[in-house]
Amino acid sequence: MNFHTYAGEVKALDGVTFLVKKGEALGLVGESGCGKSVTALTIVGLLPENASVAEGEIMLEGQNLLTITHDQMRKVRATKIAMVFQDPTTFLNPVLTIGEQLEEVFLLDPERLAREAAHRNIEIGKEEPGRGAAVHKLPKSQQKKVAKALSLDVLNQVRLPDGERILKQYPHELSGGMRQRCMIAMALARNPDLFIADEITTALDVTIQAQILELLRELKRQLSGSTLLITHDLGVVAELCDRVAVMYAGNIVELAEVKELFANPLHPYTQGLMRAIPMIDRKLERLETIPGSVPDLIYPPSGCRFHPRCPFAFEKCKLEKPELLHVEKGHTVACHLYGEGKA
Amino acid sequence: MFLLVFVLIGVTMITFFLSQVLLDPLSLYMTERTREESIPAIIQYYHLNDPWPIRYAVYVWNLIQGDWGYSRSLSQPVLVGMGARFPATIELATAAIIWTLLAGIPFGIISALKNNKLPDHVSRLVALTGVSTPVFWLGLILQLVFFYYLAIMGLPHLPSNGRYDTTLEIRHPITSVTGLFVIDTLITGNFVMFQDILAHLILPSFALGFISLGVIMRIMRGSMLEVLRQDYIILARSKGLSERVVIYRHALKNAMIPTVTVAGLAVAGLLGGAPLTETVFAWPGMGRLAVNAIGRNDAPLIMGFTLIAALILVVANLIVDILYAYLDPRIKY
Amino acid sequence: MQRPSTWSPAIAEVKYALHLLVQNKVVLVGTIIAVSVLVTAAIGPVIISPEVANTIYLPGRLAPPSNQHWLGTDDYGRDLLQVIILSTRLDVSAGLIIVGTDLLIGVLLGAFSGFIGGKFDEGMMRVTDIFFSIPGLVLALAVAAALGRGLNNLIVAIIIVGWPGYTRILRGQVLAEKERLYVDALRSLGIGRFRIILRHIIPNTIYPVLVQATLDLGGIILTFAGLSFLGFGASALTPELGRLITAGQQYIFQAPWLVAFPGVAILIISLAFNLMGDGIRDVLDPRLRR
Repeated sequence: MNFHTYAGEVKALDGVTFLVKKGEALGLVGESGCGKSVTALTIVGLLPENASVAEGEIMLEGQNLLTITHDQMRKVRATKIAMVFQDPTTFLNPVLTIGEQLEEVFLLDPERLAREAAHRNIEIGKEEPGRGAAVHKLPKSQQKKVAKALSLDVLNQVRLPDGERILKQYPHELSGGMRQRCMIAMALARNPDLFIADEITTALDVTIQAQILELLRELKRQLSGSTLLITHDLGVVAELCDRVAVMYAGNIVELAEVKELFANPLHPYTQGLMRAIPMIDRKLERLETIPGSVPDLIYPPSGCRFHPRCPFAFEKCKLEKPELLHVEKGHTVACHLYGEGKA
Repeated sequence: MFLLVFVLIGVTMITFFLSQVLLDPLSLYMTERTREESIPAIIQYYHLNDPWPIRYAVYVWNLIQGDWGYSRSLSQPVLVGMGARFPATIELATAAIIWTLLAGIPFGIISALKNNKLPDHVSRLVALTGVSTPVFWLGLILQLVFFYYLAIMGLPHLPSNGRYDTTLEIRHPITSVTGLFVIDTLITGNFVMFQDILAHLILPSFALGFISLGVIMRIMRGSMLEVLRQDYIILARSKGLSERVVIYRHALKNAMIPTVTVAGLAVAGLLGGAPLTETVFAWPGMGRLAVNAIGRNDAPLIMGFTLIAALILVVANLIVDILYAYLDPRIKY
Repeated sequence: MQRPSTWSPAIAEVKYALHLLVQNKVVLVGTIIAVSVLVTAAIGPVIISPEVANTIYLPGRLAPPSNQHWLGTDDYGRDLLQVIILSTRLDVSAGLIIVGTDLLIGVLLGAFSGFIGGKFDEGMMRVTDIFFSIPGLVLALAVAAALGRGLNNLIVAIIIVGWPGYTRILRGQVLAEKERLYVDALRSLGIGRFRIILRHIIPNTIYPVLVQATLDLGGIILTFAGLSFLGFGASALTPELGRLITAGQQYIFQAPWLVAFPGVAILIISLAFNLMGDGIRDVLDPRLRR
């Protein structure tokens, strides 16, 4: 996937392949600018105008999201995929109340509203509920009532019990942590099959981060869908994810189960990352950094994009791009050190 | 609020300076029937021989009481003469604003949505032309085309001047309730005159509004473009909302905020264009009164017009501030 | 010993800006027209004798456009095309004088107001507030009426109306600029405030005002023409576009060209300067986040 800019073609993503299993939490880690958010935006189809996908496919339950129509994609966004973004201050509309922004998600699915209304015995009209009648659309005013009830429910789910009041408030009247919970609530409202969290704790204070992470851990138990957790913080990954993929300069370089990755990082970049963060169970004199800097993606390095900074680089690394190969028990790496031949 | 009062005081200082310092102070209060002997009494009543601060204080005090001086060309006190023509100007200005907003805002939105494509270029050209057109000339050309040429060709045409057809009015007299004839004829059921009034209103209000149209359209376009780039629009789209909802519910309310602020400026432009437009269309409003006053050297009237115009502008900006607070929940007063 | 003032890099930037200006096509067209207008204004009275304005030839009055008189003749029998060309000088130079003077006043007052601050600044802001609450044309009308008829009085009146705008803009810029470190550095070297303002602050903050001035030029010319139309300013025979329209008004139905063409001329002039101003703003604005 590329960005067309006045400076040149930015080859943002070049070889991103992974799959998220049902019910699991996959972490996507990497430095700033490695393409994690862009990957998420590509999945949801919300790339800016100057971006285009050159080739590839995104499969969700058998459908290739890159080939469906605009309207179909909208449906997908409304019911199957939900995304929560990094900065709750800029991502919430300042002139609409939380209630309006939350209820509109529910109002997109009138059948569900009707079902819920029957289910909860909310007044449908003068007829007795439980008539066994077909599920129609409710009149607008009733739809709003049901939507509001559902909103209060979902706010409870994100541990915002004072729902009645919050629904009437505007984003700027809430604290950062509360706003982020509201955004999460908007995502939960759809009961999504895929929940994408794009650096949702980065903009928050450490204490609030902890709260949100706690919340996510709980939700993970309750949710039936899968989660794609994007972050640059390996600590978050360790806490919440089942599997993790490491990204560098628009490529996935390693993918494994969390415990496996931490115990046995294979790719030189992953190893570098591990060395750069303090961990309680290791005794270190200094934190090491990875020498060099992130490459310019208009003119990316040839072959393996990490080779200029890799301590183990050899000739082949400059010439040929390594593919993601399976090394052992679900652990895959894209590095010539673990060349072909290892099944 | 306090600022408003201060500003109005400042405006009175300017009119005071112009009418009493640059011009003969006596002329403000003399009528055509004033006789030689009365002059000393007038001078004493208005303290015209006292030092400036006192004179100014008396001047303002009289303004508040409604004594704005006397207009010799009208043979009426200034406030009375102005007041009689006030509704006509308000009617014209309001109609002009309606044109401006009805055309400017949608054009601006379309321009932003079809950014850099044909409708955008066309709209921008129209806006640019609007800002560059002399309003008095536009009025004349409109009269030429829609009155004269249409009439020659035997087609139905629009009237070229005045507020209503005087001969028609004799048979269907207008009862003045608010002074705004559009409303008056409607509530008194005088439909014949209602149509006539509207017909007379179209051309002048369009001419007056055309200028501000360009300004509003550009601001709307600019702020819409700005809003559509914001993060919360990405979130809205990610919820699966239809594009229409995203634009009209999420984007528009935000985009209106800067536009409303500019609308205040637009009112200033309308007030400035009023004298020109009213002159060209023989519209019996305050603007034309002021212009005629120039020809007759009637300074008190001109100063009166200046004061009223400033007052209207201040009130308009107040309304803008209130609207602004309504649109943007982050603002608290 | 001369320290290099901050003007030199400013001049270099202007050159680069001009280079960019040439690349945007619509703006280029506008700029070309604007330049042609300026040229016409300048050399008009040279190629067409000003005496043409005073030559009354009643038998030939109100003649429609023909091969002899491309735009027809006016009510004095003068060739309309020639008179219009002659008038551009008056209208354009009036506009330039007004904007130029307002710039001068506005920049100086704004710079000092912003830099010195305190009561002076407060007072200046209140004064500009007052001016802003009276619609421009109305105030100009009042001042012109008070000063009396005549071209010079009209120009003075419009000047009086326009300076607060530039003062406000520049003051805003200066408020930000004076927090920059180099100002402290200069002060600690003992350089007086006056020099700092003139040689350093003003060149760094002047761009937005210049942009605004070019944008305003078109509007000022419209105001000038408008007030002339109402009877201020030039006298009957003086070639001036607003005046021509006033004269033509009486004959609008018999001789529409008398009203139409001078108006078109005003439109073209104003449009050209507006386009040029737009272009300058687009070129300068995003690059200079001052």
